[in-house]
Amino acid sequence: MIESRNLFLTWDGSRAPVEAVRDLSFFANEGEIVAMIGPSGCGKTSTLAMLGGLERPSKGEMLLDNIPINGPSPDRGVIFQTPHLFPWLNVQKNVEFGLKMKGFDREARSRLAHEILQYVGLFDWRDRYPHELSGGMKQRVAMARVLVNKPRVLLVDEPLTSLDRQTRIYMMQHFFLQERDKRNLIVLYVTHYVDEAVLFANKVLVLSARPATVLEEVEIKLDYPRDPTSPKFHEYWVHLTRMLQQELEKTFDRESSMYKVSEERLGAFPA
Amino acid sequence: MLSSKAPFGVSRSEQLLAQRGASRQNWIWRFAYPVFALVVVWLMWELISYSRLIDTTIFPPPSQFLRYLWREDFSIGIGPDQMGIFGAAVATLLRAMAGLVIGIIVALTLGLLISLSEIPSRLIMPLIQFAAPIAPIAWLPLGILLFGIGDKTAVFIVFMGTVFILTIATVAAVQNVDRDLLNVAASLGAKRRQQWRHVILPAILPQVFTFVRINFFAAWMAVLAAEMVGIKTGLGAMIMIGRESANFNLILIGMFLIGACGWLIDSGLALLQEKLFWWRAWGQD
Repeated sequence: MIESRNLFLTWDGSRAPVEAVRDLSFFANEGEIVAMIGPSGCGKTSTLAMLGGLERPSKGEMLLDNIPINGPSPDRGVIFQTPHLFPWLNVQKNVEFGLKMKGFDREARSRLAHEILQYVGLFDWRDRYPHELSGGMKQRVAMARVLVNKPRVLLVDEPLTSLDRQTRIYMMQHFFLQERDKRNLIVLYVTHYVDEAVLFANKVLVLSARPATVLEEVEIKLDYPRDPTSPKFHEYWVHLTRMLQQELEKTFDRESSMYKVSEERLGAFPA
Repeated sequence: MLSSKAPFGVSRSEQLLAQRGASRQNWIWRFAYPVFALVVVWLMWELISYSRLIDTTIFPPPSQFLRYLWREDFSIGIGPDQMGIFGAAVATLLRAMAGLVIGIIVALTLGLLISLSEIPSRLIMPLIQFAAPIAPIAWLPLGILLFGIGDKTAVFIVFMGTVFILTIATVAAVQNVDRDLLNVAASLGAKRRQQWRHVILPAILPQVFTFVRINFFAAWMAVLAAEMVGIKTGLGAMIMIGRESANFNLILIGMFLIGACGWLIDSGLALLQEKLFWWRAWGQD
């Protein structure tokens, strides 16, 4: 179980300190997929960075299996918004990076890397360098590079936003759901697509505008595979979209005149 | 250059691969262009000389000074000062290279050590910034005092002329390393020491090498100046011998060789950079 208790994060701004996260608490059990949605710039990425051990919270604690998190670890794999591959290493060496840091010998590294590269469908590209790959392929390498370390937790920061929707859903299904089923992984997934949150997550955390805190925890009690055209699915969608919209209006301090979710238009289903 | 419009169904990666193949075929052109430019300048020079617009005894054209070189059996000077031009060129090159290589090693070490912690960097950086602007040739008197007249002084001058700037370049490069790349490495389990070895070092090498290329010219000129003023061997000395004996052929041969060697070395360094440290050009994401 991964857990955060009363997390606070404050940056030293140039004029006044900026409060990014305020009193954020939640937990996620083994095999659970937790989606975080919230207005952009609300501190989702910072929260993920803290859980990844890449940023220190100003106050509060985070625990993985009741052991405090205080630094990065390959146990908690982070998949960033952009792939950040090492440009001087080829695909295979990129994937082997974590294993090399752990001191695996060349043979074991190569065997594990080949295995995972076959899984993400990039085995034939193992000798290529990042600049030779397309955006989607780079992201797959980034995922393989994390998955090869057999993490307990995946911290995913909307890494697929640059891809088209179909590919994105296919890849999430392929990598996160399958990995979760195989190894009882905990997946924490930051997204700004409400429908994708409802499609994948067991639990959706709606975060407030900055400073981020959990406004509501919504459990999605739907069986997989989920049908996005079902009325139940839509109910979740309407509820979450509304909450998000209210937060957005708070951020900009005015109501949206272009976009309004209302009960009357239940027929208009998200694409 | 490939057209920016990719044919339908051709992925970006395939396009990039095609570009790489094309550049391999184009390497002949890399030499064709400079050779062509040199030939044009040479022909114009000869034409102007034959039209008697300039005095060829003071400013001899290549056909004349190269013939002189041939007649003199590729050696210059008389008595104990006599030396082959290849020997002179090699002497100059070795001095520049020795100074530069030592400079690179010391600068990388010093730059990385300075970047390691804050207090030493605050103490040492000002000293380096103080020493960096001192022209290489200004170190000559000190060099002669320390090492006498000879190779060591030349190497010392090149070293002093390059090490400080390269150190500053190294420190700047370390500061420029993508924080996200370090975060990625950390979350993949790289300890601090491993981050230095496996992320920071490869990330800064291309940038530092660019500075090495720029600094090579500084080193090269410093050696020549040193050879002109104090050390009596090498290409720089050749020009001074030409001056003292009013031998304009010799002066122009010296200038010609200095230019040719410098160009060749820089091309070599550029090629080395392309082969060893090519990744900077592709950016990071």
